[in-house]
Parts: sequence; structure tokens; C-alpha cells
Amino acid sequence: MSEERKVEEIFPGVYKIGQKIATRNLVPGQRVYKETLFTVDRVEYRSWEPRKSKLAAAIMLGLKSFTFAKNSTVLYLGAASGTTVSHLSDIITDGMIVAVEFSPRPYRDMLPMAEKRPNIVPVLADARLPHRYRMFLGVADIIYIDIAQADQASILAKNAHYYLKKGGYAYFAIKARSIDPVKPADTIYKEQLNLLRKEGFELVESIDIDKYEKEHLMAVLKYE
Amino acid sequence: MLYVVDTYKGIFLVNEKNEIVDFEEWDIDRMERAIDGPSAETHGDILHRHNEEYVFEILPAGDIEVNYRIADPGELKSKRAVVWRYLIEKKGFSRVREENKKHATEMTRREMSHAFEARDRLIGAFSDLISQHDKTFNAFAMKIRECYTFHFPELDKIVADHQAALKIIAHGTRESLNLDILQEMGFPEEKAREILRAATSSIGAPFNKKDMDVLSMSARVALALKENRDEIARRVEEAAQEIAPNLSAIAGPTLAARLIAIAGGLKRLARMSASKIQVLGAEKALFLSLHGSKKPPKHGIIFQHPLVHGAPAWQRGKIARALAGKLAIAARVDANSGTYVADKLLEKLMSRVEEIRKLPPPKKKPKIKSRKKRKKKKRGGRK
Repeated sequence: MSEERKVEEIFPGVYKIGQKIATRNLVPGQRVYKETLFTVDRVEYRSWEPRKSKLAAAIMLGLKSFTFAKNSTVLYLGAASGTTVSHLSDIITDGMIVAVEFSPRPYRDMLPMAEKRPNIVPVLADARLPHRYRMFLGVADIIYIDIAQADQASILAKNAHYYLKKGGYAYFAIKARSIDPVKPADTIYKEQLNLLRKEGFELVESIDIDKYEKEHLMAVLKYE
Repeated sequence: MLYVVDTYKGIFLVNEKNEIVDFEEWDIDRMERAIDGPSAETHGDILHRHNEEYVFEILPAGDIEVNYRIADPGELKSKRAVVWRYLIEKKGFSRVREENKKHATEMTRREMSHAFEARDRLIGAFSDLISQHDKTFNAFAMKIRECYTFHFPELDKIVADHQAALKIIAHGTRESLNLDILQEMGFPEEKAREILRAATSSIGAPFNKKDMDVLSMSARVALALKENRDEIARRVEEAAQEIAPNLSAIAGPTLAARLIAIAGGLKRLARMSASKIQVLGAEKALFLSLHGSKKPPKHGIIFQHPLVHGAPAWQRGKIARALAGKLAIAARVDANSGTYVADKLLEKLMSRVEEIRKLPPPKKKPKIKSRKKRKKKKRGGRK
């Protein structure tokens, strides 16, 4: 269905259409979750739902540091059902996303989707043991980590030491309640970022995405 | 000093000057065995070609018989970059990505089936545990009630349900009962009054406190056993839905778990024909029919499915057959980590069941009076 809508590319591969954001469908005609597909000027887009994807939420709330490029190599920890992965796959057309997930259950939904997309490399493994996927990745430009674990900061650090290039970026979705059920969220965020500073990370930007995901923060860090 | 870089394609050896010194290709099976770390089996050949100290990314998974050390975090990064750059230059990025993806996908498939394999056998074992719980609970409850009979013999006739009776025994003597307490236990008012009447006029002996305490504890243990059994049943249901969503949707999670238990795993169940699934659990009857002149069983454990046991006798065989057919398909889809097809299967099943339900009952064949049949009519008396 063609419509007269203004499409504005706010980041490479990320489009703003009206109040919503979308990515260009790498596999036209295919829906991944229940997102809306729509066509403008014969190009099919997939709407990127901020309630389903934390990265989308961050973008909607003003994220400035979007370093994903068409040919990036991304290590994605916590791929789950592949919602955010699918949009990164739309964006990184000539790159590679190594999608690591620990639980086989959501991965079942992810595999058929990944099959159709040449830029997704699916890995079923525990992110605490990065050596188990050393065969599938050389060096990553970006690590995206979204796992609800108490030791997520150390998991990020470990994977960064293994795989993240010098000057690479990390996108860290912090779920406060996974770290501590009682402490105030802000305290938790501060502590996590401190931990990472000690591991060689520099905070570039942080966006509180509470509006879309209660007590969540998206932090963008640079690895030295 | 040579750095060992493992890739989807094979093993690379890189020296300190970032030059690739050697390479050995491997297949997915060898790669899978190397996941936890290098070993003589996976890396032996290439490592013995050189006489250097090796730097590994991770501790060897087995005997390695070479000089080695483990890299500092990040030490291998540049070496890995060199190798991948080389691969990309040689084959082009698309090709490298494609092959990498292929290997990783295959590994993921294998990991997934390992993950589910153990799980489905556990569900089977849990299912058996539940059966054992039931047997144990019944025997235990009966004995406890027998003991309590010395004190309150009338209770057995009034309260048939073991769990209800055990609640009373756990509480204590018949003298300690009153209407509120009984109602709290879940007895409806009329029943509670009946129990109280019997309790006050009981011909049973008073119970010594020590005896009551000990028996009361037994009752509590039995009740805990029942609760544990129910929890396990809930867990089994959840798990059955996770690992075999299609089968659970059609058979119900409990029956699905039982089928997996009898078959000895989801994979085994998936390999069975529909006719076998139809009689799973009726092995004794099956044996007797094959080796004698008895009629074959129409259904095994799938009798527990409401469609089968809820149907009139002459329809059960046909329904069991139709159900087993769909269960076989469901099991196969689930075993091969497939999609959710239960809706379509149920639709087809139900339309077949509707057809079956329309069939009239068969006419009774007139009984041919034969001498043999006569003799079977025992009407008391001797012999």
C-alpha cells in the first residue's frame, strides 16, 4: 500500500516516518514479530516497536550515538526471539550479526527468521563462556548486550576483552531489577557503569528508557 | 611462539609477526568436539607439525602433549583479526559470512537437540515419579487411616477421600474437632456436622498424646507427599508444553508427558508409527492378542484422552485411531524443532471425530446358543 509519507533517514538504515521509526525490510513480505509492514515509494519498511525493542526505545527517546553501519560486525548477546536482531539485520545489510542466546526455547522462534537473513549467524551458547563461539567471530565492531543477569557487566567485560576491537562500542541494556531487587534504579546504573569503567569502558551516552521498559537504561560505551 | 586461532573453517597458526604459518581444515564434527577447548584429538595433527610454544585462547579440553600457555585476555584479538582478514580477502565477505553461518546454524541445531534431549527424558522420568507417588500415597494413606481407626473407626465410612481424612488426622484427636476447623479444612457444612456427630458418639478409644502426635506427623508427611506430587504434575505440564508444544496441545500436557515417558524420549516417540502410539501402554493386551486369539486392544494410554474415554464404546476404536494419527504427526514436528501446527491438526482431527460421532451404534448380533457358551454361565452353586 503506497502512501504519501515523508521518510527521513535519521541514522543509516533507520527511518523516521511520522512519529514512528522503521527499518527497511531485508526480506520483503516477511513479518518477524507482529510489526507493521508498509510500503512507501515501492520500498517496504518494518515498523520498529519501542515497546518490543529496547534499542528502538532508546532511539525514540533521543539516542544520538548510533554507530551501527552497513558493514558492521556485531556480537549480539541475548538474542532471545530475535526482535531487535531482526532490525539490526535490516540495517547491517553487508555486515554480520553473531546472535548469541542461551535458552533454546526462544531460539526456536528465532531460527526460521535467521534462516532467511544471510547476515545473522545464530549461536546457542552461554555468554559467560565466550570461548564457545570463538569459531564464529573474529573481532567485533560492536557488542550489543541485553541479558537479564546479575553479572551482566562482567559478562560484557569478558566478551569485550575477547572480541571487541579497540575503540569499539558497546550497547548495554541494563535491567535494574535483574541486578538487585531492592536498590533504587539510579544507584544500580551508577554501580554498573563504574564496574565497566574499571574494565576499560568509557561512557558515551546513557538513555533512561523507563517510559517503554520500566527501570531500564540503555548505555552506550566506548572500549579502549 | 605460535598463536592458535580456531575458526569455522579450521585451525590457523599465526606467529608473532602476524603471519599465517599453517592451516588445517576441519569438518563440523571435529569443530564440535573442539568447542570446549583444543585437545589432541582435534588439534593434534597441526600442532605436532611444528615445534613451538603454542598460545591457546582457552584451556585445552584434554591431553595436548605440547608446550603451551593461555593467552592474556585480548592477546589473541589481533591474531584473530589477521586470520579473518585473510579469509575475507581470499573468499570474499559474502562467502565467508555464508559458510560461517552454515557452520554456526548446524552447531546451534545440534546444541538445541542436546538441550531438549535431556529435558524430554527428564519429563518422562518425572511422569513415572508421579505414578510412583500415587501408589505410595495410597498405600501410606490407607495404613495411616488404619491406625486412626483405633481412635475414630466411624471416620472411614464417612470420609472416603484420603486427603480429606488425612487433614483430620493431621489435626489431631476427634475430641479436638469442631465445626469451624472442619469447614476450614474444606468440608461442606453438612459433612462437617456428620463428622462431628460421629466424633462425639464414637466408640473408639481415646488417643494417648504421644501416639496422636506421632500419627499426626505421619499424616502431615503424607499430605506433603501429595502436594509434592501435584507440584511435580504442574511442572511436568509446563515442561511438556515447552518441549512438545504440538503434542501437548493435542493430547494435553499430562498425557503428552506420559507418552514421552513410555516411549523413552521425544525422539523415540517421533519415530513410532501412529498405530504403535495408539496402543502405547497396552503392551500386555497387545502381546496377548498377537500370541493368542484375544482381540487386539483399541487404545493404550491414549484412552485417557477425553475424546476417547468420553465416546461411546463402538466409536472409541475409530477415534483412537484418528487421534493417534495426529499425535504421531505432532510428535514428529516437535522432535524436529518445528513450528506450531497444532491448530491445523486439531481442526482436521475434530472434523474426523464429528464424522465418527454421526455413526449409528452397530446392531447386536443375535447370540448363537452354543454349548460352549452355555457352560460359561455360572450361577452359583459348586464349582
